[in-house]
Amino acid sequence: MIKQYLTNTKILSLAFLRNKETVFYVLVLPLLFMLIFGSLYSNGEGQQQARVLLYFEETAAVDRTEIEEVINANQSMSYQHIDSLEVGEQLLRDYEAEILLRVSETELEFSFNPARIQDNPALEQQSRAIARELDMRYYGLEEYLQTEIIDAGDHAGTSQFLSLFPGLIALGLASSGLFVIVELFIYYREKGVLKRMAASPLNRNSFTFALISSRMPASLLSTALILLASRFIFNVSFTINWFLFIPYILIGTVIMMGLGALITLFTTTSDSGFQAASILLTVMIFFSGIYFPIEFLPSYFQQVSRFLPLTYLARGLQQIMGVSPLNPASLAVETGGLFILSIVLIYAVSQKSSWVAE
Amino acid sequence: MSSSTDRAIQIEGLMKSYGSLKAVDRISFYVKKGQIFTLLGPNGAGKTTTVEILEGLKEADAGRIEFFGRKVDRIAGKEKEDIGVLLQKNSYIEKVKVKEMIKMFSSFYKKSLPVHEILEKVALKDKENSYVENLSGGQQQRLSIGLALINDPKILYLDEPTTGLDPQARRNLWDLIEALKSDGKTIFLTTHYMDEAEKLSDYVYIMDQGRIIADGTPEELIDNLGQENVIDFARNGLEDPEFSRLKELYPRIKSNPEEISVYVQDLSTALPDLINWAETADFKLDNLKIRRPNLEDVFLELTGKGLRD
Amino acid sequence: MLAIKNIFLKHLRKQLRDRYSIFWNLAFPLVLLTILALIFGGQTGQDISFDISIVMPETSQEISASDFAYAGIIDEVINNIEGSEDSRWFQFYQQKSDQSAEEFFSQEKNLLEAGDRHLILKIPEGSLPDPGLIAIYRRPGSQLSNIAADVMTGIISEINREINIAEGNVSRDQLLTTTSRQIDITAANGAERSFSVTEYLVPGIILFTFLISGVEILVGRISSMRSRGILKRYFATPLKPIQYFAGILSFIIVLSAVQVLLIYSWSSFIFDISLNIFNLNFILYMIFALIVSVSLGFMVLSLVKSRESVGVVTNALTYPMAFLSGIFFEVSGLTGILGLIVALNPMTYLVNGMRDMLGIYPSPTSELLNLAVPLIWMAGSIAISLMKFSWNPGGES
Repeated sequence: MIKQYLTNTKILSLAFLRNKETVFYVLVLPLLFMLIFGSLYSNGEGQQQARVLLYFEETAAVDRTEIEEVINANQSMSYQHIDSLEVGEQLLRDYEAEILLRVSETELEFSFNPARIQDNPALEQQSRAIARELDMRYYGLEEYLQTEIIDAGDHAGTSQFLSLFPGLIALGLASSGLFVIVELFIYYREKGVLKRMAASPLNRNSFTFALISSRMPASLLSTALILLASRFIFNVSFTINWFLFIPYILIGTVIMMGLGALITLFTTTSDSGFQAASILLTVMIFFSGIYFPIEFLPSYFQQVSRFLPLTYLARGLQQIMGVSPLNPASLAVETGGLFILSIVLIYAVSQKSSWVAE
Repeated sequence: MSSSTDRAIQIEGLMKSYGSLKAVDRISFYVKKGQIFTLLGPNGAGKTTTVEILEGLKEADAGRIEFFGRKVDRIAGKEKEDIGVLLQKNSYIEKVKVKEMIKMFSSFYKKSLPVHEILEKVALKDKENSYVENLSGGQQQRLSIGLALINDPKILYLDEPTTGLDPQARRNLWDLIEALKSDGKTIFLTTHYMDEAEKLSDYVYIMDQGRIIADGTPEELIDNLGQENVIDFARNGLEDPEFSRLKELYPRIKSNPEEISVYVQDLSTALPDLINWAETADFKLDNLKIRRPNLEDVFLELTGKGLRD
Repeated sequence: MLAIKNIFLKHLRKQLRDRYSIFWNLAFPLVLLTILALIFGGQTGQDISFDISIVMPETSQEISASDFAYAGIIDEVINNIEGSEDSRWFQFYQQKSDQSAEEFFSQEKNLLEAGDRHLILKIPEGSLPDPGLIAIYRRPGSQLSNIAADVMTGIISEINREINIAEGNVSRDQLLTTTSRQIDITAANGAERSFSVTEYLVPGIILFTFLISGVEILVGRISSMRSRGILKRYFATPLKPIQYFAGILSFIIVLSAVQVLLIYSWSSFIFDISLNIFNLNFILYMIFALIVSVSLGFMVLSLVKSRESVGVVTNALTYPMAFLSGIFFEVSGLTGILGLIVALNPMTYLVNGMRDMLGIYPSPTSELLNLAVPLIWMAGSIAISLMKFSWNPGGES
């Protein structure tokens, strides 16, 4: 039985990895999204300098050099003087600059391009920092009340950017695991593959287990690629709890298979099954908060994420990778609960499904 | 008369229905060890259902099965260790190489032959690293036979093994099947090709509408027709009254829109009579052929329809 | 003509009979538009509310601003905010009178980490003129928490200013006020309009559906029929390839027109925007965009023979073209290879051109480039297709 399981797992793993679509969806696509969204979100982290346009009215109360010094002190900014507001606004519209600062006799007016939806919160923060710094330097104001920003949890940092990587790993697990149960119990049955095997003394549970195991190398490979790429492209490293991490990858893949088993219970053809899985994957991409912050969605939409396994997987990976504080109790409950439910669903489908189509 | 000890399979009163349709209607037969038995009949006769019950893919509604002298309720894992199967349609997981597929199937059995031996047996050694889906139709069929032989089975079930193959591939497969018989294998063949049944079979069961309607060696079945010769010729639109005249002349006559077959004992008298009739009727005897009766004729006699109808 | 009509009807029936095709091609663009409009619109919209905990220091005396204790100052500021129209932005939580500061802080920190709070402010003991440090605890994974931290930091800066004025360090007249605004978008016709996320998205979503139609649907259908030998069967009849092409292209055009109408109707009805998509220039530009997409599709069919590879290649092309173009969000900040892809991507120029024509957003790229770059891609794709494309009857696919 062990030999049967090992032989089948090896051959099925190779078959899976040889499939071009597997390679694309499980390995290439998460990397592609990492490049795109990682670059977008890393810009919001101030990794690229914000270009400030300086327009001084004739009656400007503040000296140019003062403002230039403040901006220079902030290494995430650069400046350029302009002769008119119209020119400055056009440069903003053309995405040639991020902030337009008009200095008049009585005010500092910061202008932004509303189309920079992702960047504007950080830009406004930087603008306020300029204003505060000017207060201190120029007017010699006392900072009676100082502020210190403390990030809750161990990790001092952010944000949508760092959360992206655990989310992408979770996505790789979803691509690897979501379709396999539909493939086994509907597609292979339709094609007659299962029928041929049913004519042998093959232990069906052993084969199901081998097929499930065969997806793990792809999950691990996808994970390894994302970690390597994040290190070399974005110079990001994580404090990974390896003791939990590897099992979590395997458990996460099974959880996604459980979701696939749920689909199988409600679909009768492989085409419907695969399509339903694709739709579910798309829903999870949008509503799990991996690519887009869902906290800006209306609350009834945000509730959808509570029902998506990908949300919990991404959250669990964030904890295990040190992006957010590790909460062993909630991790155990959420992951354990989903894992058990997945096993039950997979078992239910395997018992219900015939290998021989009537 | 064979005793039960030399029987590989014996079934009695086997039944299987799908709703109101009786696919297998109380059939009984046996398969002797080391011989090729053929279940012959048109599509829809119940052949595949019968053989799938014997392969353990379906369960009979009623009936008795003896497997190598052992009574069994159904063909289960233990019996499957001794069975080799070639289904009517064989599909495999994609992106698996030929030798990997053989290895995979080997792992299903407690005992199996070495991979290289199977590859050589079915002449696929040079294709061992090809993906199964990239093989030609004939090569895929040979692989399927190889997989059927992997456990060195006592009995092989070959369900329509040459359907869809070109003539050369068919002949190659016949040679392989005969070689397997020489190795002592028991082979249970289902086919709707009468030439295949005639060529390969030691014993034939003819099945139609879920029932066995005749059985015997091919020679016995043909001899039972009681006719030694068949004269075929093109119908050429022949209708009454000339057709009626022909039927008076030759009581044993079969026809379809394209061809007329006349069954005769003695050619030396039958042929001149036919030529005279044709002259009288001003009928042109096109595509005239003289042959021995075959199993198709037997089937036609028994059921009034052709094997390929 | 009859042959073209029949090919067109065949593809139309296939589309209408397959509920999944109906979902992906007709419903999904609307779903995508809605979700993105809600997400991005939410970030700029007025519906945000911050849940902020204020942990006051334990003191035996009742706090009062007149004592110049920081706790009192903050308390007064909070009361002022709650009494003003800015109260809709904030929900403050403070400890009960019988609750210790540490206990309350511990409780609120758990809530912060669970996502039920956006910020915790720990107010120091002490009073003016001694310096005091307010610890602001935020949840780094939450954008709202980051925004809340920034807003509170700004408020505290304002408090510092007021204290400085009250202490006589500076007079109010001397100080510059700090304001921020968003620039108006001046359209090509000179009309000014304020920025609308949904309007910004609509041309992008339309272009996205064209990209999918031209590169995925067209390629998928022709490749499938090529590989199954159906085209081979067709061309054994008097049917000419050009007739077949005309039939399937008619279907793509009709599908695209329906998609545009659906997107327009949905955005008008649900988001109450008004865009003049029925002007001739915009219609011609949309047709141009569709032709560019279709030509890209034919280029893929010309270069990729294997059925298995076609699906992978179309996805590998579609995703970067869609995401690295400004279709969904602004990508001007990308540098390096990604920036180069944005600069070379015909979709970048097409979506800029579409937004400009509708007066949604002035194109950051010139009109000439908005025509020339897609045109070059179209011409190149057509040239490659003419050289390499094969209906491949009985061929490799």
